[in-house]
Amino acid sequence: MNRRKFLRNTVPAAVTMPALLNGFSFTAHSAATSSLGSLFDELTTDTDHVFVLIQLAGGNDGLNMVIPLDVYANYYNARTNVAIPQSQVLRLDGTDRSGLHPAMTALQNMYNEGKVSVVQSVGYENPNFSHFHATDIWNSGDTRTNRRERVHTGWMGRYLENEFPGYPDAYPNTTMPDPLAIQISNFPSLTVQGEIYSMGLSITNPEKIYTFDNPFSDYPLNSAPANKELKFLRVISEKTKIYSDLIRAAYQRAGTMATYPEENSLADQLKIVARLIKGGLKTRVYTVTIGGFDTHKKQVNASDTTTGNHAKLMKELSEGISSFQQDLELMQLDDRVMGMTFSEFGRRIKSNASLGTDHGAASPLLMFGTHAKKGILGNSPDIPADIQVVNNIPFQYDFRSVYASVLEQWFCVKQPALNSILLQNYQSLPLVQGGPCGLPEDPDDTNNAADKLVLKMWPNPYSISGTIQFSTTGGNTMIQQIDPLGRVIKVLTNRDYAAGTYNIDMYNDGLPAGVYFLRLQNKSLQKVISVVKMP
Amino acid sequence: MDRREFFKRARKNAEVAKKINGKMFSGLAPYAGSWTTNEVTHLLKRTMFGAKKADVDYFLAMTPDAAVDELLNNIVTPSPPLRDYGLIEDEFGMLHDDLGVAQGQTWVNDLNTLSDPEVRGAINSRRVQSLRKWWAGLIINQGRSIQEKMVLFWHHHFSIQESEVENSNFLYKHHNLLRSNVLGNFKTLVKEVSIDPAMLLHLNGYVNSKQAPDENYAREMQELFTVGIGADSLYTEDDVIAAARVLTGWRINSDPLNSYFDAAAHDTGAKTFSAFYNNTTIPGNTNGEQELDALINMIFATTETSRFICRKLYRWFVYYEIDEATETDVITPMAAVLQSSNYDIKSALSVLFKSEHFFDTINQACYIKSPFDMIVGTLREFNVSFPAYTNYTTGYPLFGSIFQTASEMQQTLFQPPDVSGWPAYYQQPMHYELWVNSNSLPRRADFTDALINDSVIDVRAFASTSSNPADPNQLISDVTALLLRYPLSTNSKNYVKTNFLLNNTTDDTVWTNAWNGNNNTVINNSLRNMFRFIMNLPEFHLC
Repeated sequence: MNRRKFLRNTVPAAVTMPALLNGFSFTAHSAATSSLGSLFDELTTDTDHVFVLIQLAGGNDGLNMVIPLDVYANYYNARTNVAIPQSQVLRLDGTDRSGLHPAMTALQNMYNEGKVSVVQSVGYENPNFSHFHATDIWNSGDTRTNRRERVHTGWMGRYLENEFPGYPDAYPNTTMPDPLAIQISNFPSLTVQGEIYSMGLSITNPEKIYTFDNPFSDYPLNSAPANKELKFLRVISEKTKIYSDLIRAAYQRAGTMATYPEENSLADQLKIVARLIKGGLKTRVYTVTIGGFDTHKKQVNASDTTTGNHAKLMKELSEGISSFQQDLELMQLDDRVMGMTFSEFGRRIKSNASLGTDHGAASPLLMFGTHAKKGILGNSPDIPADIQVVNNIPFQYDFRSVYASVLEQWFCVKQPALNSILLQNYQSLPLVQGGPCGLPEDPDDTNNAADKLVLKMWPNPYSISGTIQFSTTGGNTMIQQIDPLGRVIKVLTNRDYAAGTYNIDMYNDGLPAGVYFLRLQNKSLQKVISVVKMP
Repeated sequence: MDRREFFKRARKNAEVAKKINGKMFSGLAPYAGSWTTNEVTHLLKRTMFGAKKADVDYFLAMTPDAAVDELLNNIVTPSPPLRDYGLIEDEFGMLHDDLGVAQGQTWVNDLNTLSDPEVRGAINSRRVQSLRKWWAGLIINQGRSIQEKMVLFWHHHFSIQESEVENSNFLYKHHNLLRSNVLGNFKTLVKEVSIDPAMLLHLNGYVNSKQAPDENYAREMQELFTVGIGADSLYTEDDVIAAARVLTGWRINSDPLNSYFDAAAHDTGAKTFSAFYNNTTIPGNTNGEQELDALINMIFATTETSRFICRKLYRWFVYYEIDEATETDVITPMAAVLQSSNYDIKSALSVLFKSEHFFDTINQACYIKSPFDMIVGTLREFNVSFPAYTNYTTGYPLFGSIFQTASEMQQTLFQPPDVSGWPAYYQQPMHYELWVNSNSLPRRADFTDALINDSVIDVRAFASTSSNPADPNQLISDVTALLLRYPLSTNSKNYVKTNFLLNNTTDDTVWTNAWNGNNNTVINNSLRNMFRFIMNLPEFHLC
């Protein structure tokens, strides 16, 4: 049995039965594979912050949500039958690089008020195109393909387990009198899964009364296994009753102040979330889901590409988020709440013949709330003029950098817990404004700084040999080479550099001809360029 | 109580006392204890989904051995799933028929090539759903047999996912393979599964070639399907690589739907294995099946293979904790039976179910119901009637809702969480306890509450199965004996009686008069509240 498997097998026992840990050395295990290291020495962070995760299930066509105006010709060429006409793209204050889908006027207003941040081309190094696997990857924050190496916990689950060790045994208590996480769903999702227990409760109707009658406390059967299981069932039954009562009471204490749109399932769910927050729950994480994004066909109406299924979803998303924000503002809770959208993947750059788009790789995500740092982080994706069916958008930002930044800047998670929750170190991105965690705000405009980074290659196109030139502000600097499908196929360098400009010579890299991308990452900055390998 | 009854009870009590106090552990020796409602209910709830009173009475009239034999031998072959869906609407609102098969006929073996290409994907999805309904229909309509619980066991064991296979015909073919070998030869089953199209798809066997070996199946075949990863399972990473080489070249046909061997993709070199496999060398040749047989023979020559599957069966039917005594006194002899019978699953199970260990008090009432135990068991125990599994008009929608309800409780047919099956049967340390959490418990309550609120259960008819329903003590004693494997104490039974049958008095005649007076409103309300309460008890989740 390898070390990782050993850890995976022993970790659950350790979490439920701390007594067994006597003489067991945690320092022997790297923090990167287990959150246990920090489990016993971290105190719960005192925060009233709430984070709302909006899952866009099915794979959102990010290119038609945030439309690249600066490469519009290539965008239009790649997807003429579904492209949003340039004149109808909603403009955003302070930028002419990209705009929003015409159905998103509510979100456009929110952006212009400084409450929305767009993070461009979020993805990871080995994009998976299966709904199930890609969703697991986003929820777990683990991109490893070997099942035995992969964690079976969620990124938020690890965060909550780190904050509230021993849950659910000693909970609710004065530190956390409410559920740790609430999912508006029939199914608990991997996002909030801890080593053994789900850190969340899933509810569909907050007012439903469960009896979970548990009036008996005797154990008339003289059998240790049966008594063990009955005791377990009695504890779970009691906890579930306590938590469902807390949720119902909170829901009934509060009302709704804003007007939510009708027939909008996202709005329905966020309306419940707002009421629960207003009702006084200290719950830190809420998850909601909106489906229908798997738009292989009829994503748009042929007669008018600004209408159709995706437009309807964009409208629901935009109006759902904006009515939620209004509700929170009217309740004076907006200072405590931030949210984020995510989808298991974006869609292919080139559209198909059925007025739709197929599974793709990286896509933009939205952060929203009074503390969202206004702006568009990153550049418009590089869209080849000579578009091929296989071409995907290479990632600029690793999704775990987004997670790390949320945990660090919104939930004030510090090292080494941050690395152990996310399984390794990720870039910190400027996503939260107002410095609620007391972190210094990045005074520079990250995009402008990134623009000043040098990343070029000559000759480009290249055949046998070439030279890559890059600059760094110092510290860890990495250059990855990404194939047309969006997969990282080579890491050309990944080490500490002194500030300056450097060259890397390449000779006979053995790659087949085609379009590739080079991605430079230096602290919170990155830059992506396309290069072409000639036959 | 007459004299004979008195002595009978005294004897029974003495036996129980001996077991608890004297004998700390029981092994595979044949069971020779009492044969009462308690033991029969235990056997039925573990080997079937729920124990109906009629079934309990039926088996009570037999000897324990005869009862086990009947459960193991009563195997039937069902007819295949049927098309239950109508026209399919495309994205432009146009209606399309499934031109390959008429409604009410089976779609099995129809290649789905006749209909409009636009809707073939949708047709396949409908067929997958009809397959799931059909299966749920077989489970709810199970006979007096272990068959359905064993089919589900094999699905847990080989665990293929619809999201990976995506083809309704391959899914059915795979399912039918499990079903046809349900109590058959384990070695044969592993061989067949290794070249089954659904498994080739699920674990990438179909792309495993000499030029680009894919180890996925070779790894799981050893780790999850045969030798396992017990302390004495010492196969190596090189064994995985060598097994993958043996398995190169198996491919899938789309017409007809089957697998075949492509010698051109096969690695014809010799494959050498580790000391765990006695340094076996499988000479390479162009006969893929011959090499596969050699691989299977080698794997099944280890004692680990028989022990691993016996542990898995033990966790499925008895309890999840396997301590040293269980390993020595139960797993080892059971595995020896399996190996000496040349991997006949029925022989091994027969020894287990006829053993004193299986009926040992410590193995009773400690099993947390799976979603299918909860749903199908409850429906069957309350004698809720269902149309035949072949009834695609009124039956399939109901079977679909059984499938859906189980799915909401985290047990989805054709979509276990991953290739390891359901964690309740392997994940340390919680095992069965993983079925019940703050997410699934409300779903279980939603289900049992709905049975009462929507009058799915005829509470009065169920109460009438008591030997004396007018006597509140007898009524509670009889219904809890059937519904609850974990007994209620006298105090708890009094609580139930007072709260639900006596209108909060201590007067038994309150209930007796209501029952005898045929007071419908009082009887129905009292019983509905009582059964809703019982099904919400933590005890109800045990079997």
